[in-house]
Amino acid sequence: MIECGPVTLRPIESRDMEQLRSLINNPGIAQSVVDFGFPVSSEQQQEWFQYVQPNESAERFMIEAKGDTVGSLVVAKIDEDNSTCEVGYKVERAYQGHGYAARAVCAVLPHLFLEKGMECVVACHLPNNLASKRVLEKAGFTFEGIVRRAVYRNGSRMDLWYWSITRTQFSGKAGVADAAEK
Amino acid sequence: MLLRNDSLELRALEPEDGEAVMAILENPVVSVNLFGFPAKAAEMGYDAWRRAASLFRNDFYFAVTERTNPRVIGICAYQGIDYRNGRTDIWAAVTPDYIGGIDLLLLLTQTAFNHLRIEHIALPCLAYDARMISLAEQAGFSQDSIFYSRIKKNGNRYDIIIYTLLKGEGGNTP
Repeated sequence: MIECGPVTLRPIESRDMEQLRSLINNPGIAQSVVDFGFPVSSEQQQEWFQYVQPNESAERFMIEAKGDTVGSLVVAKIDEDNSTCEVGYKVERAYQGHGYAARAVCAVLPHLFLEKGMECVVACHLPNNLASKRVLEKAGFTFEGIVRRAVYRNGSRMDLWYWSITRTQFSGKAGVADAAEK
Repeated sequence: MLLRNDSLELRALEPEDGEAVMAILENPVVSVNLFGFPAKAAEMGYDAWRRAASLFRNDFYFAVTERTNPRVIGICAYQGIDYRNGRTDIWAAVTPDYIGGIDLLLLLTQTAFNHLRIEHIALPCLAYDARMISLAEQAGFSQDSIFYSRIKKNGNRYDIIIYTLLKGEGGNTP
């Protein structure tokens, strides 16, 4: 369990599969995330859980706030050789706009830098996902640049905006978690 | 199918290419610019490295030869082909005395655009790799993002510059 103010991150469990499935199948959320996903059945979701538990080099958390499970956060592309990883997050529509994603990212950074020894944590988002941009700004990430027309969405190619935070930047940003509270 | 243009040919890596491939990858002029999976060849040894490379479903590694000479002069790859988004990374390393690197990049890019339905090619370069950056620019690539502090090499951290080429740019057929 990782705690940061009103937000708690806990590892995903079998009971979370329906909520994760609803996040994947939600058209509004699917439009705003980088990875395109096909619709997922309950059975496929459970199979996925059985598969990823022993096999995946990623860490997956549910985001809890005020007693509710409000979304999910994944630490993926963990590269032990270069001590880098990528974070991604989804928050249920009903809970968006409350700063939960920013607090969740702030919460996971000490775990990644201080416990897992990461040197650089990366994130990217679609240009029209300004909420995600704001999450990364609040969490102390630095904008790196744009990779032009990197993904295909709605019949056209879209840029990806890349952000990162290094261990040095993380150490120098005391109060990042406080900033997320604002 | 062999991939070829007027001067070069790309073929699968064979077990007997080990000596030539390792001579290239362990050449100090080349190895200083290696990162990621290609940089692991030295510690893994050629046979294990080649077998591991073949397990990546979306990576394809090739031996580079001149059409007039079967000697292996380089190694190159499509890395992480993403068919859903029509994108791939490319990587290449050639013997320091080979001056036709631009032909190799053009062969890789034209094959990707014309045969693999790729529309976005990324060439990640170490920020100090002046040779590869020059080749990328000659081949029509544009600098996109800089990925800060992304690579750990010899105890230090280095930036990666992402060069990209889109279908229709750099003289490639739209």
